[in-house]
Amino acid sequence: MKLTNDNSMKARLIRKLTKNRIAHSELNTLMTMATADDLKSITQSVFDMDEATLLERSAVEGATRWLNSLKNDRRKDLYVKKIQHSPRNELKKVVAEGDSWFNYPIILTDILDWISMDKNTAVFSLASASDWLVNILASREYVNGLSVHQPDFFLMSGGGNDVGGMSRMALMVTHRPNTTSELHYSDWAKHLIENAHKKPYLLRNEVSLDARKPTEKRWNRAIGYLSKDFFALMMLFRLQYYSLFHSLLVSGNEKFPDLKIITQGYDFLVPSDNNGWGVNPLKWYIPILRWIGHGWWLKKPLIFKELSDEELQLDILYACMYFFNEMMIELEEKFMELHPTAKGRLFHIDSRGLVQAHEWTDEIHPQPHKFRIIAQTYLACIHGEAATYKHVYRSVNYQPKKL
Amino acid sequence: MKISSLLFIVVGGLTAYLFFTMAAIFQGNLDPCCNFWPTAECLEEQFKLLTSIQKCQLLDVVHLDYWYLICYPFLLGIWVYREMQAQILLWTNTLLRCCLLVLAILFLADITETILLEQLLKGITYPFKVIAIFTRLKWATLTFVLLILLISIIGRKTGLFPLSLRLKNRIE
Repeated sequence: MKLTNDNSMKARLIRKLTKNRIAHSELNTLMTMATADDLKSITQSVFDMDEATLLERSAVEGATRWLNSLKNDRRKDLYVKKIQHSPRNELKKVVAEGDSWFNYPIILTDILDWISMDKNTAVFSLASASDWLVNILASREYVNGLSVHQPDFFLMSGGGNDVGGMSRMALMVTHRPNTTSELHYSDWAKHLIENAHKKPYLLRNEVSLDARKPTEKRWNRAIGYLSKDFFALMMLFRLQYYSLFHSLLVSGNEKFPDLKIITQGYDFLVPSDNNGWGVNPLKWYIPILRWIGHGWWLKKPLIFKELSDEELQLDILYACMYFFNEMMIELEEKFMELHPTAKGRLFHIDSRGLVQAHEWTDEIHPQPHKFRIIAQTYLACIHGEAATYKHVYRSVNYQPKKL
Repeated sequence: MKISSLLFIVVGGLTAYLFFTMAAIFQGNLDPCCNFWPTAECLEEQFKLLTSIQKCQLLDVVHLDYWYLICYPFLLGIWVYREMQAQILLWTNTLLRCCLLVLAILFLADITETILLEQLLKGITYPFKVIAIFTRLKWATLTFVLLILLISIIGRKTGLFPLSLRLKNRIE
């Protein structure tokens, strides 16, 4: 009888979540109750397609798969060499899973490339360009990777393609700003923003205590355009990441007693369809790489929704990425509060504001020198430097230095 | 077997074969200056000296040369890419990324040169000036790529550049 009640309650909460009408406490209840099957059912509702179709469409195949494996194979060779030749007490072992910020095939030197250049860090990469979070969690390739390698750190970068892939950015916005924004209906989302206001980053070199608050003008302009699907997707991410953390740090605590997890927050992505031609020969790769998907991830889906104003597009992405980061920070705080065994084992890399508008290779990938600074932030975390704020490391605080 | 090892064997074998075949065709009468940094005049002069048998032999070599010019930039590309991944300095990393572009130019220059050379040997057109330009471009780009590779490898293996940087900082 209790089981039936639980199931009907879960079904009710899932319906509320997909409509963005779920209370904060209800979301927390669902988060702790949701099973793998429930997550599948929520994913189906949020993505509006059955799991098999979703996994088929989001699967990494063909040339991308081959190019991904080329880079990962090179990294595996380097990983083995480092393990063979470096003293274990100095070496940090890392398993990484994620998307193109961790594995951009061939031309770009991505985050993991820069991390691998640190002689005291051995990186085993399972990352694939174009991989979706839903795909990563369904294939569970990382479980085998973690069991085999027993790393000190698990690096995870997922979520970007779930938003930008298959022109899904169009679903994240509404073409007419709502008189009452969807934020208003989401207790949890309001809590996130309040959290950011109440707990500012306290930084040594930050003049203002408002560093964590969103820029009010940009935020207010964009928030009315975010659709209920966006908030539903953010809540789905929250449940998916919770489930991942739980499986590794709580249920898998005996298997991975010393494992620490570092999550990725990306930066404020820049919608653009500019082809990137310029006079600087060192940036020759930008127009070439902009042939691949550039414009179709963010800019064109926004235009589909009649949102052609460039400043508004930037503000919308600002709000989305702001929200994603705050979601991750709050989730990790909440997780460590609920599960004391996870304390000190969850970290987040907040790269918001690091990459300036002219420093992007394309809409969603920074240029290599910015990837390098993000990598330095990861290395600071891996090698135990003090965090910027609780469990958060901010990339803007790291200056380029010799790795 | 890895692609790079296979390419290395193919490129090594072809280099030796092409070198000895060319030496046999020209019987030591090649002007090195005209070969590496030619002008239209010297090319024309050399072409006039070729017998019809030498032209036929050269045509055979040119056909093999297509395979060569596909394989060696690819091998160099793999080498440059790996070196780029191994560099810890931003400037050498960026320079090696530029080498990938220069390699693409080298590939195009080499393939254009070979196509024009084939036309020349078949007596279809006589573009001496254009061949001279593309030959120069080919050697210039190849030298650039090899030089950057050499600098990067020396820098990485010996730690020379970080060392000089440290010394510089100490002096300052």
